[in-house]
Amino acid sequence: MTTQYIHPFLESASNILGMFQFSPRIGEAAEQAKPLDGKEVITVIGVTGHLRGQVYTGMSTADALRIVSGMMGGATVAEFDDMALSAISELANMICGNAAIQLSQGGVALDISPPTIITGSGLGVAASRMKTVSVPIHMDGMDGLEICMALEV
Amino acid sequence: MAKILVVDDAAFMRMMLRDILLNGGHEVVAEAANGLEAVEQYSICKPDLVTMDITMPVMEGIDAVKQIRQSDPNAKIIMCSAMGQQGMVVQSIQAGARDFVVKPFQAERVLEAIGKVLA
Repeated sequence: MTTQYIHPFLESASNILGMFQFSPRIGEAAEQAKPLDGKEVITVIGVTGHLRGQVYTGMSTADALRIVSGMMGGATVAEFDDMALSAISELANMICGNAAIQLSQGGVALDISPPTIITGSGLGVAASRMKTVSVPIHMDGMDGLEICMALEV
Repeated sequence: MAKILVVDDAAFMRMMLRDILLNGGHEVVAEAANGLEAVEQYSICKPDLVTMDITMPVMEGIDAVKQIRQSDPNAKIIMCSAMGQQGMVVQSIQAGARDFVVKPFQAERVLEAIGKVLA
């Protein structure tokens, strides 16, 4: 999995978070022994086509509430209820969908699945059979998002 | 002022679209969470226009467009999806959709697209 495949997901995440008034800073990509470690809200989207595997986003519950608030124009979001869960799923969908647009312009055709969302504490993710690249996305006043790509050509 | 069927598997997106459409002076007559529900609701409600997501469980949006257009060749459908690749847009239009709004979108874009299709 090369930079050309990772970059569209990062750019897409950056653009979309920017649209919701966040100022994301993309960190360094690395293979982590424990991807998404400590994250309490994790989205999973399946990818097929020229690339196959999964793309994950992970965040703390507190960050998820902040992000949903941003997606709702600053409205107060008190708890991570079904609507908030749906919003975070939709964020993941938009990130992957927009990345697919960019990749298609470079001749890489993808399809994506509807999102799955996992919540809890002490979650462990092991995409041990696929090379998995994690990239932190920092935002001021927040714990930070992680995008994790387990993709192969 | 149109009667609109909103189709998206994300409750959040249906809520956002409902707000945009109501603020734009339209009426949301029904919502559907997948393509199959969309086909069913279309025949029940006979809306003036449909907003249709693509990536959904049970039945995807483009298949739903084909089925709705088969039963009603005059059906007015606007795609509303994050999957805005050229191929997807072409498939959607070939299936019978009138426009394609890429998510994330601004409210003005959605209302403008609806206005053009209804004109």
